Amino acid sequence: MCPTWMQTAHFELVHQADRSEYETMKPTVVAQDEMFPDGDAGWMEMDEAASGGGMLIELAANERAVHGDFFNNFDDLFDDDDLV
Amino acid sequence: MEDFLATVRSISADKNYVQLAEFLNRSNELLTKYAGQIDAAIASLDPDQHALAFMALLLVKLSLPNYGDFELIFSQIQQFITVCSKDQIQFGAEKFANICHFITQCLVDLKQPMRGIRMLCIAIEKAQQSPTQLTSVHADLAQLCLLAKCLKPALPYLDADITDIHKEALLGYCYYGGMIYTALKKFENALYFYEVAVTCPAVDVSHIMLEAYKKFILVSLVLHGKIIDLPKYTSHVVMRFLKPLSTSYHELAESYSSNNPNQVRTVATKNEEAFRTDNNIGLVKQVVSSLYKKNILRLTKTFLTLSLSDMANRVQLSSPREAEQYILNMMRLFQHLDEKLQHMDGELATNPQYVQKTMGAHAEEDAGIGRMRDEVLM
Repeated sequence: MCPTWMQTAHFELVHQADRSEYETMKPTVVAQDEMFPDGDAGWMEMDEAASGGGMLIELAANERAVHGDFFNNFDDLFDDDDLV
Repeated sequence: MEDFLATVRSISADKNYVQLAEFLNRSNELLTKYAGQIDAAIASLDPDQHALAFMALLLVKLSLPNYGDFELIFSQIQQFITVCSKDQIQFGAEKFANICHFITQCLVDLKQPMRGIRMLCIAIEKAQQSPTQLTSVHADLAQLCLLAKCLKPALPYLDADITDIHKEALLGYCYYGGMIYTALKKFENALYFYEVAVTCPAVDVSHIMLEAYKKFILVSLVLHGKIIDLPKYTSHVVMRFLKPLSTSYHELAESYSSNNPNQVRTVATKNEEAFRTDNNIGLVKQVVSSLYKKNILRLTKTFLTLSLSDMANRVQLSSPREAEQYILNMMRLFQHLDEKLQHMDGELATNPQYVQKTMGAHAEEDAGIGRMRDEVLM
């Protein structure tokens, strides 16, 4: 049987079907400049990131998740107690 | 099939690879019809001179419901990747990558990851148009290295400054690469890789990003003692969903800020199941251990000398022997740093070019040190 990776992209960052929706959300040139203000304001607080905005209300109603089947079944490689 | 092979040999001899690629695309149906003769056809072609046709035949074989003996197809793919012409591969880069993905998947399923590492190193170099190009095969190599617990072959490809990304492979490359650096305790590199994964522009929540975010928190605690801020350009959509899905990790970070190891241990024990499910228990242990080291270092700001038993009491270690073990481990680290500094001193003494290079890079630091020295002298 043909493996699934041959039919679909291996890692899909943005759904092709939803690309038009994504295109409409693209910020304008002015908005991109506003993303990189000078000084310390260039960093984001976690709480600020988690607070969300009006734009997110619409997106939250359409939750999607990708890469659910990505391979992550490794042993714990970071346990120093395993090193004897 | 004979006509097909004759045409392939003729077009390959003319080195007209665009025409050859078009011919091969048209021949797909025909090749599927003669599936029984594919092994003989593969054996009759030279993987260097007829790389594109060899690859087309392999792909037809892989698309069959049953591709037959795995050892045969493994040796065919190994021969193809090792010998194939790099020039021809550029006319079918995606197909070449698909063959690499296939063999990776098979070796993962068979639990024989070590067999693919050397092959994929060669594959990356053949697929790359420049040494700084990221291909989708990079993630495959990192995955096999992690599974085989043989990490160093991936390092040259992780250490390279990537200037040309493959967007579909970027997340996997960053996540697996971050894991390799974490396992090798190259925490700064690991943190950078996880950060790149978390800050990828995205409109959907990615499971890779989520797992990268969890490890980002833990490595950030080990390295900096707190969760470092993410850049402003981090996707708000992603951040909105990632934080609620990582509550155990945020709880651990919050307890870490108390500098109280017992509190951190309590949170770690309470969320043990979640950490174990994510295969992050080892990293959580390193977080706890890093807090003891941090507290021992804080003691040096108060005391000039301190007995091991006093130290064990103050940082809440169980015994003076455990405190001694921590001190010895920390001394090994400092000894390593000392050796590095001595090496730099040697370079400074013998190589004036080294001075010029570092002066440019650290001009601002030097200015700061100069100001501090002036203040001390005053």
